[in-house]
Amino acid sequence: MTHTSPHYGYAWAALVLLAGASYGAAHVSLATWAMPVALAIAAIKVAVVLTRFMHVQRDHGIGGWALVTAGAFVVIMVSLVLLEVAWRAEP
Amino acid sequence: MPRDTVRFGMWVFLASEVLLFAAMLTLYAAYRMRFPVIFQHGVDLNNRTLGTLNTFVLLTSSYTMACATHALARAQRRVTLLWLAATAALALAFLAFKGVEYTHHAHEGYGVYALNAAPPGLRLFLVLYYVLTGTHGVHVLVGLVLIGAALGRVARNPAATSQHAPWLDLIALYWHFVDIVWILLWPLLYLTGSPP
Repeated sequence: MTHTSPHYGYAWAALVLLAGASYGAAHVSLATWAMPVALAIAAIKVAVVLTRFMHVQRDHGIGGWALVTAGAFVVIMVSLVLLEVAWRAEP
Repeated sequence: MPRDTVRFGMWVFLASEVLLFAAMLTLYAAYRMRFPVIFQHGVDLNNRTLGTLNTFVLLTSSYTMACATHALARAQRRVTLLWLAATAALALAFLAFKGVEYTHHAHEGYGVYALNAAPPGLRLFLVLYYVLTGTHGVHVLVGLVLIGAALGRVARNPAATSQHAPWLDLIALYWHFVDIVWILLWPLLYLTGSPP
């Protein structure tokens, strides 16, 4: 660890702990909350990688804007498809 | 070319990659809504231990890659080479575990060549499983080649620093993105099966 920045070690430890939380949550009966909980923990892990390893906040935040734009398109696409599936009339 | 411009180009490329995986994940979400129980059964077919092991491998590889870029920025060439070698070894380990998993599926009758024999709903899950993990695996393979090339270039250049080698920063961004994709695939394909 003498040749590396300590905050990378903290970020790795946080990611492993969060992975443990995901694994633990999969072994608890959460009923309909299982998927939202799993995705929420995954979203926190993604945020850790983006901010601690990829330094998305650098470059005047311009990388963040590229990702936010892509994310907005993803939300629109996913929402419209899932709405269609949920409200589809059965023949 | 200014460093900020190069990094911005990489972010735009990664944004396009987000859309590629988003299209496949949208299909997964749509079919999971239509066939929730069959998809849970499909998740149960996957080896949770191997999937979790691969998660640990990729999370650790993101750490070693971040350490490599940090070392190169400080002109610590030997340390950079060690971290890069560790990252490459972890990438190889990921692909090896994935290979073991695919082999298990083939022995259990759910291999990629036996999809037509699976019941219709389960077939959808398996097709999406192979497309998602296969596309991600190709990204890991590309990352491994890039890391290997970086190893060679840093090894050949005794005065290597991130000033002379901005491409390592870009390879690292790509590698962390590959890690992010797996962070999302792991719960969808391994953890959200039938209730315990």
